[in-house]
Amino acid sequence: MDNDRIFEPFEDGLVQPPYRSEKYASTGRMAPDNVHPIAPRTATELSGPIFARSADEDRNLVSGKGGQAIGSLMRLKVRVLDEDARPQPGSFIEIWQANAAGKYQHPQDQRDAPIDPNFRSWGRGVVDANGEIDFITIRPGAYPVPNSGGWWRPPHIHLSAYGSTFLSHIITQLYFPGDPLNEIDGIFQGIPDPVARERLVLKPDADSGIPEAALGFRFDLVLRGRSQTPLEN
Amino acid sequence: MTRLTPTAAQTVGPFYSYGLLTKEDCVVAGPTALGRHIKLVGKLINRDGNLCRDALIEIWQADAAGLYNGRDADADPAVKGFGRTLTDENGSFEFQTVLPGACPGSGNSWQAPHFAVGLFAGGLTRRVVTRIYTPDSPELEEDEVLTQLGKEAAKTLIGRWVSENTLEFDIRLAGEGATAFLQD
Ligand SMILES: [Fe+3]
Repeated sequence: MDNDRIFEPFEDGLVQPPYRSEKYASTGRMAPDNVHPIAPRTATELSGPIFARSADEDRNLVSGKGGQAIGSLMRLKVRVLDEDARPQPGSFIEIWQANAAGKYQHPQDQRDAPIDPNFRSWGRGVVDANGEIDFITIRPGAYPVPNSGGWWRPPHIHLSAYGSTFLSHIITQLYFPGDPLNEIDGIFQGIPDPVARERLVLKPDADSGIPEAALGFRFDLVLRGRSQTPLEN
Repeated sequence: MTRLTPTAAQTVGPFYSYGLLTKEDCVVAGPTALGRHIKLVGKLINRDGNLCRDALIEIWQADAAGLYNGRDADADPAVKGFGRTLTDENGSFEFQTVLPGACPGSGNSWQAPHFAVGLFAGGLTRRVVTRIYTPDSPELEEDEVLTQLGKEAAKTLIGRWVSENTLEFDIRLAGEGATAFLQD
């Protein structure tokens, strides 16, 4: 291993949200004090867990025992790339979200809004050989942030992705194009660079939908790091 | 060569895991794994000194021989190497695992046995990473990450044995005695 590769310069610039944000009050209690300018890239960071494939129904959030979930049906196609634009088959993707009424199926969501018995709040799966995975879900509703003085989160889908290394694991949120709440959301607007924010917005795409049944949306996810496979000629 | 900018992170939020996390996710090494079986336990503490519940903590580690699952062909198949869990209502976390072995650093150096730690929580805008070391490893002196951090910061990365097979490490995000974190 090269000595100059083990510690990479930190070059996130305005792309990643800073730990502290005035618009997101609880960051004041949680932001870490001592983040050292050291980014190890050793065997530890450049290896990572391998995830088993899961069942196809794990990518369908809307088919309940009593019928279809309420809301605007959508198919979400996620393409996973590394920093060299190489597809990342084998990556493990998880999503979770509120239902159409903005209610989470979670004991910590105490808000008086309806649970949809036919909606399952999570999906997961392994990315295919083309670097793609798709989920059938509904467009989630907005929901209020407790004790925030009137802040409502815009509709969003939470996404976690494990690539091939510990370094590459990311958790983020996907937003809907044109939603007015995007403009005043303390979490979305916590990303300083407008271009980086725009990359978290889903792209409507007819080919990704199901005719007369589900809207299509695409999302390109870029994981940190580079795959180890050598370049082809 | 195309160079793409990595996707921006966003907070994990308060509602992670309903259905995604299983009890076995905190078991990093199975009963047949080689090496010293231990529990890795700790608490997550924020700037106000409060314990944080529902934070997602993950670890990644080598097996007892210092080999990584998926990377090293001879790695112990009983060591997944990866674990994740949510802190409970007392802000506590616990992993069942084996003590990792030392693994190669750059040049001829060795990295002392360590756990890579990733931390996600409401109020954290992105992942926070650090490492947990054991107090009694002969390689601590030559470990490059600890050397780069310097003595004072390095001290905050050393866990303590609270029983023969329980290593404890509290993560203090900020304030008095804050843990040193690494750039992610
Ligand atoms: Fe949410």
